[in-house]
Amino acid sequence: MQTVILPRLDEDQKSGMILEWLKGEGAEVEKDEPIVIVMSEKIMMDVSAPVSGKLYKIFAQENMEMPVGQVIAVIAEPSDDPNIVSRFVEEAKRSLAGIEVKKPQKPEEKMPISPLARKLAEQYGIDVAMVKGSGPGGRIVKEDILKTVEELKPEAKAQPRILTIPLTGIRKIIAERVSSSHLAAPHVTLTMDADASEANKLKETGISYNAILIKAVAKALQSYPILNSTLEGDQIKQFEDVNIGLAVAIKEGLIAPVVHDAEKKTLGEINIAVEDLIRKARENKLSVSEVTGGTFTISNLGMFEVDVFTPIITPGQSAILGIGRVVDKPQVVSARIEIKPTVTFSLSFDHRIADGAVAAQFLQFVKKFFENPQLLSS
Amino acid sequence: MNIAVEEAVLRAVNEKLSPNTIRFWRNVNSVVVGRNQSIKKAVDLNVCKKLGITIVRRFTGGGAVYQDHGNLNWSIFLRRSNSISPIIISDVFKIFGGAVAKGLDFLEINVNFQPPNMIQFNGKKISGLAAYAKHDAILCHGTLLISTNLDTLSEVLPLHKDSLTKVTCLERELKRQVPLSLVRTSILQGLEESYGIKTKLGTLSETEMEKAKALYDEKYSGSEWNFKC
Repeated sequence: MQTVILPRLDEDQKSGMILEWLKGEGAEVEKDEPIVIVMSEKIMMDVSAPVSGKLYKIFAQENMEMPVGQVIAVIAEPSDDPNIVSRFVEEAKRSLAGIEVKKPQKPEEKMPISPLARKLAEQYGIDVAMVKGSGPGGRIVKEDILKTVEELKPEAKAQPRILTIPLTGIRKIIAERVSSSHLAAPHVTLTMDADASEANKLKETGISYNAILIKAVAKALQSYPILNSTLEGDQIKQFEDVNIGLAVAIKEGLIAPVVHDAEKKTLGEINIAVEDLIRKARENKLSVSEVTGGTFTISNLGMFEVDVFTPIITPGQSAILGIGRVVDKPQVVSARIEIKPTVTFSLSFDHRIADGAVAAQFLQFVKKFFENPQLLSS
Repeated sequence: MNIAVEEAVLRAVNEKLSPNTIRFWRNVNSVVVGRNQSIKKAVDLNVCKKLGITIVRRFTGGGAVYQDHGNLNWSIFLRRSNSISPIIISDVFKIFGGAVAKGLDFLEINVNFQPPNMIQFNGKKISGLAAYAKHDAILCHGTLLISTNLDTLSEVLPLHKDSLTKVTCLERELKRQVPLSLVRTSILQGLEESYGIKTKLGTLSETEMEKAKALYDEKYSGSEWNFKC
């Protein structure tokens, strides 16, 4: 079973319109066959079936405007259990009940409203269709919105005051990507402590933890390539290249510049590449090729005193490694307690692609390489 | 027929029957309305009738445009797997609008791409862009007003009646002739310099022609599609 989602066509697009269903409910569809035409303000797009099967349920009728990322249909595959499919559809219907779905106004029929009034209406959550305009030709002006706000005040007082922050730009893209990944891939997160003593020594020579981790992961992926793959329909596609993305926090949100062919690079080369990519990310100078093509991602929250977390897999990949802070912790060594610098790894993986044992063994390899960075030179 | 060819080539590129394609084309006096646009509201039908102007509906969105031989349309059909093809589809406007603007720079025509989807000269619109994405192909096409009769344009499109301060054509602004062939070459040069796109001259393939004829017969020659709203 696969869902069909209303895709984003424009960077700042909040909603899109279902223009025309090319296939009806109940029709058999082939993978990649166009099933619906959708549009944003400026662009039209054919949305194709993600899998072959039966177009089991259509949630959005033609001419409906819906939020981007919303499920608009479900395709049932022949192997699906009908009970599970129908339960899913019922749940999806319930979740759709809370979504604002509207018939779009044609551009020519748009409400005459001044830009300031529109902004105020958005800020106060006023439906402009309910406002009578007092400007020329019935145009809604600032005063009309403020008057409506005043009229609504008694009710508004009972509600908490809200500051509306529009979800735009990179924040919106992140929101869409993490939601789609989290919904599509059953995540399992394993955690494991590692001794950072040797990595600390290497750090003193100018090699960063991130570089050591990227190299350790690249080597471990060579032994466990299943975690360097993606699931497309009913096929697991294993990447032959090992391109490690490193999630970096920037002012606008999060970006993951990519160290390409990490398995072929030396630790020193990776160290230089990482420094360069992080600098470019913070200066907003990354090129498209430097942020695309990742096959595995590392997310490091150690600098924010985080120990353990549950990272979300980057769409199109099968696993992500979260890195916590390096902190002194007691460890039992030969029946004695020793204080050692310790880091916790949090590995989230797509359970459709790999099982827990394989992921755990991969994590053991990462730990082994991290604790013994001399192995990374081979 | 031109709009039918546009859809036919997009389908052929999508079906891997045609290579990535750049197409230049012109229409005889006509109004091309957007896919979902109301003809009644966008076009003065009486003026069209009086001047013998054809009305046709395209399959991409956006507003109505008046076209005559002074308007050069350019279309870029690209596989989505191509490295230039953007992740966020609306970036096609920036990519190709920017490249067309760069091309015109070679003619010392200093235009600029104005997001989201227009090219301006002296602060006025000379080109509007629209796009359509299929599973494996994307089309970005645009107009380019070189010597279009702007008086007719404003007569035919009521929404543009008082907007000649906002729309212009190259020859009116430059006060000189701008040869079409030079514009074509410079746009290709802009694409090559911006994205390393190399082109070779070609004509429509048999498959593309067949698809276009079928689309024309079934869709674009009839009033059911053209006057659907």
